[in-house]
Amino acid sequence: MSLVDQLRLPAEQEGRGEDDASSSDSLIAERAGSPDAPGLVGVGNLAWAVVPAGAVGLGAVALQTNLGRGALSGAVAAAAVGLFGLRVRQHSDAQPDASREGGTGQAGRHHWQSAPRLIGCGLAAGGVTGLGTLVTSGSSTAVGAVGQLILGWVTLALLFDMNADGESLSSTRARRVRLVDQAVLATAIVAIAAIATRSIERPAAEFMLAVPVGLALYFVSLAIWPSALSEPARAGRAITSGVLAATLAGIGVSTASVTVALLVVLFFGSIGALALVRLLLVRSASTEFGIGATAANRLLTAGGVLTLLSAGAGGVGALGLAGFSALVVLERQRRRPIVVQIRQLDTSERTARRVVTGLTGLAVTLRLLAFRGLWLDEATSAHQARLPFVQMLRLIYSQDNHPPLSQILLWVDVRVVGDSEFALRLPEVIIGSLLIPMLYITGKELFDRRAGLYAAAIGTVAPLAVWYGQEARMYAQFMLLALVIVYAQARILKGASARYWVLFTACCVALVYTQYFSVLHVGATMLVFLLAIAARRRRRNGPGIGALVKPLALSIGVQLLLYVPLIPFALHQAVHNQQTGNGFSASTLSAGSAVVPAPGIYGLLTNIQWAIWGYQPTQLTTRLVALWPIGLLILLLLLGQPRRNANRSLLIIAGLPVLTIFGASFIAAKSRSLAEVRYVAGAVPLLFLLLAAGVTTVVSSRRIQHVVIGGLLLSMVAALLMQETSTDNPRLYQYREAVRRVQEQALPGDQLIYAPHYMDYVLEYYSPGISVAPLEDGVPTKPTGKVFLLEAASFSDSDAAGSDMATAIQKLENEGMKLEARYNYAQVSVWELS
Amino acid sequence: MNAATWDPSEIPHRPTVRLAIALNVLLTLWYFQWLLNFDNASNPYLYAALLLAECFNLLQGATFWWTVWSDRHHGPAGSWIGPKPTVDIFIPVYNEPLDIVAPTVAAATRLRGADVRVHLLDDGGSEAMAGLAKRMGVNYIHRTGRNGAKAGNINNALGITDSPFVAVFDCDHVPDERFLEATMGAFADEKVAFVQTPQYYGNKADSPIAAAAAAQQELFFGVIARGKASKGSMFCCGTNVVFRRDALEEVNGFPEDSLTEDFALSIELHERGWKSEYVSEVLATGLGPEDMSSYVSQQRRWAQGCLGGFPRVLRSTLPWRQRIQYFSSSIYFLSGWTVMLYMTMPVLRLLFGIQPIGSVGTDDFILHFGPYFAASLTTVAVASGGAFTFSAFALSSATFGVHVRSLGRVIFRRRGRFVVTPKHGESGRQFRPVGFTMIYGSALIVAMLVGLVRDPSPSTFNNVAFAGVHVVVLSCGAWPALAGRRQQRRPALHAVETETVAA
Repeated sequence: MSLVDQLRLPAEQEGRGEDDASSSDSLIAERAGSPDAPGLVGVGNLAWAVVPAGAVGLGAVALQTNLGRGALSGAVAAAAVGLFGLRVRQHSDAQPDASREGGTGQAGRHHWQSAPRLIGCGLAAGGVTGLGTLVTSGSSTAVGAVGQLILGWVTLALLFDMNADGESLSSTRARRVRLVDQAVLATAIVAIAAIATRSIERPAAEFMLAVPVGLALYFVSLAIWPSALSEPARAGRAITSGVLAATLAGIGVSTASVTVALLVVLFFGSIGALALVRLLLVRSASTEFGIGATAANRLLTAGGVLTLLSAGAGGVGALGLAGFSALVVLERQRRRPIVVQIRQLDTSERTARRVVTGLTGLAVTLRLLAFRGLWLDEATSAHQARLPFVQMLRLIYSQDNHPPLSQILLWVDVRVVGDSEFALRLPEVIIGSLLIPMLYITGKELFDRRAGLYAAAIGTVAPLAVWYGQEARMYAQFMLLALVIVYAQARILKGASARYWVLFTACCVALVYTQYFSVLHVGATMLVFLLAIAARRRRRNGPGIGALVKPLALSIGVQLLLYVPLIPFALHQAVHNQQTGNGFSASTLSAGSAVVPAPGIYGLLTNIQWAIWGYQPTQLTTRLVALWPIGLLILLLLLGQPRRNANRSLLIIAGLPVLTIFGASFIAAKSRSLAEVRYVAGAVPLLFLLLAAGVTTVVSSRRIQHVVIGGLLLSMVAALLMQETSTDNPRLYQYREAVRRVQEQALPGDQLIYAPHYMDYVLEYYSPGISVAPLEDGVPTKPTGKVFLLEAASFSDSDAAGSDMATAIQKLENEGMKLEARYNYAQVSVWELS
Repeated sequence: MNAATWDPSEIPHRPTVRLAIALNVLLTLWYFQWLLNFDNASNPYLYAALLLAECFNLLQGATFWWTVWSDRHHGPAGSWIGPKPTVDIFIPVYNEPLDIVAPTVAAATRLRGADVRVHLLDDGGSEAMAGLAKRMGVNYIHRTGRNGAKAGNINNALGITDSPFVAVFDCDHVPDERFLEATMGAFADEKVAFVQTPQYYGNKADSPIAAAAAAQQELFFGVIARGKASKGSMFCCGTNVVFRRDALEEVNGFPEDSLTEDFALSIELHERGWKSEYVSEVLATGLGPEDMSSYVSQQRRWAQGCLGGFPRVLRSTLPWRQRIQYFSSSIYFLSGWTVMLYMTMPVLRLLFGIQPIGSVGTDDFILHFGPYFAASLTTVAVASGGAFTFSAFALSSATFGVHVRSLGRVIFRRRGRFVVTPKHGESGRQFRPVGFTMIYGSALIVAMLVGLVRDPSPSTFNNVAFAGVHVVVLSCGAWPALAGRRQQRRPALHAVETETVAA
């Protein structure tokens, strides 16, 4: 058998599994009801009961507690118990099926995986697991349970793949069984370790009931009515069991209306998530291993597992997560049958994917290399995320002016990873890095592969994308979701399936729940749809507009429905902030507003400069902005270029929000704080796409394209270096350094007075270890120790704060204190008086 | 014939064009009311020069808007009624290569819709050309002397031939066999003196210069020619045109004292009440200049001829609408002066610190100039249906020296020489045609460096950016000459037809 034949054979087998979801699902349904596959009966249905119940139970615990490690360990343990029992039953029943499928030609087949590669995987798994555990053992956060669960899962995935010799993995069902195996055992191992070392909180115990109760109810129903039910009937029965179990768990934990409402949301959300997971599982591929490689791999991975077990529950930290990412890539590469790659991807596509993978890795690295401390907004987010969930929502509702989604994500992150600077920024690092493959996919979809690659390269080093990929705020999320919407819309307009409507709708909703200004982006996408409908009406021989209008109407309806809870939320925030002087017309508190130029053409150009070259020292910014005639050249270069719908769509979706916000700021608003690129962050990746597409369109020579893109990237890298290292960066706030200096100089009994008053969250995060008070409360009279005065600059009321601070220093000097030193940091000054 | 790449009969969406024009007018007024604030002047001389240049642009813009506003379809004329007319086909040649001439002669013999008598008007007196005529079965006409160049050659043939209609094709413009069918119907109106059709360059893919020149042609023979025709002001462009002999005889044939005999002839005819028609359909495929030298030679002839005809336009007794159209076509060849002025300004600012406008904030300037500039480009782009490209603009800018020099020659009455545009592009680098451009480009680069070293202020950066834009435009325009790369010629119909000749 030739190599090609060897490759083709599994491909043909895989071809069945790679069919669309509907055919796979129908296959499952058909076989689930057949007498020769008893072990698989209800596997999927049980998950419908277990997952929602688990989600509700876990949610209940999370909502009512600060979710310590014990609670999470308990939750994981409970899930482990339930899933493990399920798998034991499933495994014993599934044997005939496996052996039957194993006889259909899979056994004895040569394996495409080379032994060195397998050993490499095993080495990576064992090494990363061991190192991750060693580095993070002893951590007091709850991340251990989840993080090590992930690591364990990956490790066990390798073990299970090795054990797949002779067992058929060609069918979707078998692959799902394998994944459940991995989940069950990984959960069990980690949970047992967690239980052995930590106590379990009461809500966790309540939660533990949810999964077994759900399972029990379902099994009881099967025992009472064992006849062959249809798939929907089984699913309905499973869901009912789950609802009952979740209700029991919910009642046991809380009767508060908000909590119950959130539990209901969690329940249905988990059902949706499960559907998605099922879809993904159905589409996942698998393969087998050789015997020699299996042995080596088993040894190595077993070593990793033992190391993991010996360390018990603890945080995994950066190394573990980075390793996990690497493993996921390896695993994905390994699981994907090579023949499918050969059949589906040409050389250029494979190369492009490798380049994008490399760029994504670079993006992660660049975003992890954040040397700056938290600034005011991040400290505020950290404060909120440390509160219990309901309390956090109440605080956002009453005092913040942003929607809650990114904060909810941060809240989960704090529970899982912790509240260090790294941990707080981790979600945006990940989201910001996901922007890179998304830029590639979208660029390829809208234009071509080359444009996608260029856009991905620009997004990787674009200083602004890196900056917000490092910041524990919502802006990287804003960029990513806005881009996904554009992608989904492009697919829809090309006649893609309903799932892109789901993606589009979900991302629109998520976007609005991330940033209120994104309503403009969503509105702009609707305008693009309307234009497309109008074009189809003009072009009578084109695709029917009904195929567009009906799902669009449905999408809008669903969106409006989902926006309903946000409306009173937003209104309350707006009214409250306006009443307290922090609204859109605020003239006092506007974080970073002193950096923002006044609304106008210069302000717009400054923001465009920020979008491309990031935050630079003011002197450099003014010079970069002075290069605006380059824009005239770009206009000239566009002469004679063909008009593309993709360009038009991007210009509308990126331009409409920008023009609206900047226009409104220019015409009406009293505050300059709105006219800022972060409030239209969704337009930034679209700008990257336009730049990339512009180069590929205007410049026909590939060599000159490389020169142009290379020059742009080079300038961006230089700008990135400047942005990340210059203390003249107007967006850099060295609160951490200032407080550390105070810590070094301070003795017990000393005091720190700060201004403006909203620095309190910063000082809460970077606690100086001495008594702190805002300047508003007055300066201490007859202080016994040293007094440190900390003044933050670069806010619109900084002048007033500075004046107050000067008065305070004068007062203290009148009290007989002497100014010992003054320390200057970026946007912050500290005076030391004794 | 491969005319699929350009369809001059395709009319852009008229409401969109008119909306763009309306917006352009408003934004131009917005810009000029700001520009005419004399308090903003810094150096009065430069300010005056800037005003002059901007007013020139406004004049050109206004005539363009007016022309484009009347854009409408000019399809093939109706069928010829009555017995088949007889048409003399003139193909003037002067030492052009046989492989260029032969396809044109061959195609001319195949024209439908009339009894055609093809005449090869050879001013070169070449044996090979005579042999070609003999082989192809067409009449060979050679005169003694070369008085009047192409115009004299045609006039000589007019005296020898007698058909009531005369079609003229440059030897590198291969007519489509439908040419006469699509044009002769227009002569049903006895006041129609000539019917012009577009010039289309079929060698666009062979050379970047040919491509850019083609884009310039497509702007003219697209929206501008349609607009001129709508105002009864389409002038003869020397090739791909059919004349009524009576009209030509009334004005004593082509004027022989002009470098652009076609332009001068058209004025004469219109003055005498004759009408012109335009069929906006590609009915002949020609060859554009493939190298910079050819392009410059062609532009120099056009510029000198049209600028030389400017006094004739002013003296004419034409109706205003026609006079304005001729006027706008003449003054186009002054636009190189504005290019030179715009390039000079950043140099003066960076080297000597003088500038036309001072004490104006960035906001203020961009707010007024930016929309005006963008709207002007948009109007051209929309009205031309995207025909006008950056390459065309860059090539035109990079040869600004042609306009400058031509005006000088016209003012000082230096008689130009009729130079036939070379038909085959030269290989190798051509520095001479872009020498002036290179000097200016170098001056801009030196000024940028000096400015940055001397005073790296935001204002300097701004002028450096302006200078940089000019450098990029000049470089793009001059690059084909500097690179000296010559594309392989396509095996177009010319080459194919040559085989027939050889056989």
